[in-house]
Amino acid sequence: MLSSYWFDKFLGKSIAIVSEIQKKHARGSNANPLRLYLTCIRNTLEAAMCLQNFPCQEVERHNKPEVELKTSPELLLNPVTICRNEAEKCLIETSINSLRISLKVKQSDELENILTKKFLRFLSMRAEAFQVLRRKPVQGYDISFLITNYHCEDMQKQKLIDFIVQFMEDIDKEISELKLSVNTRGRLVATEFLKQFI
Amino acid sequence: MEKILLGAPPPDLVGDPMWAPNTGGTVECNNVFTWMSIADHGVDCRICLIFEFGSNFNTRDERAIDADHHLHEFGSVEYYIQSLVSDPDHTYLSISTPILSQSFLVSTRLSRYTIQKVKAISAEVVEIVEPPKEGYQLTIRLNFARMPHESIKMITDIAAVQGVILSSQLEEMLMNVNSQDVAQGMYKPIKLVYHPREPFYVIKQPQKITAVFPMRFKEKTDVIIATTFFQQELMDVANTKTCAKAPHCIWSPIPPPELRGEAIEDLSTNGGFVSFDILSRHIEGKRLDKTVWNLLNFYAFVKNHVKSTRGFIQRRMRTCLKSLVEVLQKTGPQDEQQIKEVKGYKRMKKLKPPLPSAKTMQDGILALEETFMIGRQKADFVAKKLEEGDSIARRRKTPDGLEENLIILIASRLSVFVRLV
Repeated sequence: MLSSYWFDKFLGKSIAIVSEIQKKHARGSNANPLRLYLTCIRNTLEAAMCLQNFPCQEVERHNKPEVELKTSPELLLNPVTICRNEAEKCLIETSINSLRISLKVKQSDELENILTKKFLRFLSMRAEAFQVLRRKPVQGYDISFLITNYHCEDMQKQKLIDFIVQFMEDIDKEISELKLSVNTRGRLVATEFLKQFI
Repeated sequence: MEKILLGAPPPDLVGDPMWAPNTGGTVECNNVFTWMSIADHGVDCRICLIFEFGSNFNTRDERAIDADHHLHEFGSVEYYIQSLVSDPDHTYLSISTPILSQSFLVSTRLSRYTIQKVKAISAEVVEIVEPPKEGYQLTIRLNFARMPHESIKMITDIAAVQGVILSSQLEEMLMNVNSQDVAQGMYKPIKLVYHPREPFYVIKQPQKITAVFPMRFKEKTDVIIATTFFQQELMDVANTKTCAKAPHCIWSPIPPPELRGEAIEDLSTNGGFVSFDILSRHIEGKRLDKTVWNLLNFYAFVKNHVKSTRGFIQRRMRTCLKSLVEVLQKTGPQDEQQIKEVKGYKRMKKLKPPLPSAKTMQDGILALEETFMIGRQKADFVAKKLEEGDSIARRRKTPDGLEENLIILIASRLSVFVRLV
């Protein structure tokens, strides 16, 4: 049901709010909201990742990702924004030969903010290790991926989608754990410092 | 007169009795190399140099020379070490250090506490020279001849005299925490400068002394790590049962009211203000030294925590990067997956079913048929092949010397073995 809903959405409106779907599903079952958000992204990516080789229409012998250049509007599809909440969203922009996925990761407080920024910057600086990672995120987002038709030829489409979804899961998990560890370390350090006075 | 750069010897020279320090003559002093092996920071280097001069610079050609050296440490700390040929038993060490607070300074004389501490090192070895050398706060005469051969503690104490002078002011303030002399202006904050760029304040109040630290950091990341530490951890822990007797700790983003009237540049911070209330129980007996040490080094402690937290975050990020890259590496092309599927046969091989056994060939075929549920047709095919003596049926000798027939049947990627006894 979810996939067909999203397929319709993908073809029609460009923006959908996941919370509505979550509410719809929450009535029937105790589904995990994160799982629904990720499923939604997965289904959208499955629908969007139909890429083919397409040389540039403007410049001869050039083959560039159309989603980046945006030279021909007929080669672009409607972008899809999937929002879990205001602070957590995903933008999927599709073109005939490339796909751009931009993520905004939740940052509930200042510590999470710097941890997220540090971590995503760390990953962006090592973008060559990921192949599909963009060195600079799209404005308004924390991290972006650029998948071209060449990537789809080199890698399995399903596994690539799995990677994006797992990446999102891992980032969330890692930042939460990192925050917890920093606080635990801080607590131990504070205890040791104050114990010296006793 | 020459300047010596403090530093550990090159690793290949550590432990070498003929270590050439830096100024020409090779020093023959067993103590020098003994101490150099532990020298990896300032105090130990100081120790080395004191010992070096204690050796009176006996050079290889057995000619004693006068030594006259100035040493400089960060924070305008200065040492002057003098060793004379005419007085070979004694070495003079003069120390000049910036004082913690100009406003609290009563006289240029050393405090009673400092004198007490220096004398406590060893009455035989260390002697305070009065008056001190001009421009220095303290001059001590060291008698190395009377020093026990391996007294690490004594050498460390001599090297730490500068710290004693510096901390003595705060110690005196804290020792008077319970005194009732709350005279006019006694509540005025006293600015203490232990490190030039990191002053802190001590405010004497009835029954307690409040130490206020304006916290400044260079980077925004440091500010957030530190403020989270103060806000969520330090204050929380101070209110727990475990640390109920520890000084009450408060963090505030704005200057506390006690600091009203202080210079604006001293009160402009990015990390807020941390206050500790020191009560009389925190300075009882040996706790005084610890309390003074903790207060003087609070900045360094926080900065070290911030630095190590950043290192910890970096390590975690590296680990996570590896695991994410591994996930991506699994997204190989589809052909590879097909190859892997074929390789799956090996996995099936591990799940080898128990071998059926039979006394005659015909029984073996039946067992094969029953065990593996293969059709009658395939079983007949095996039997036929066996009769024809085809390569599918082989004869081999077991280690016991018995002969057995091994039938290999490959059907639907499944290997079937039938042993005939």
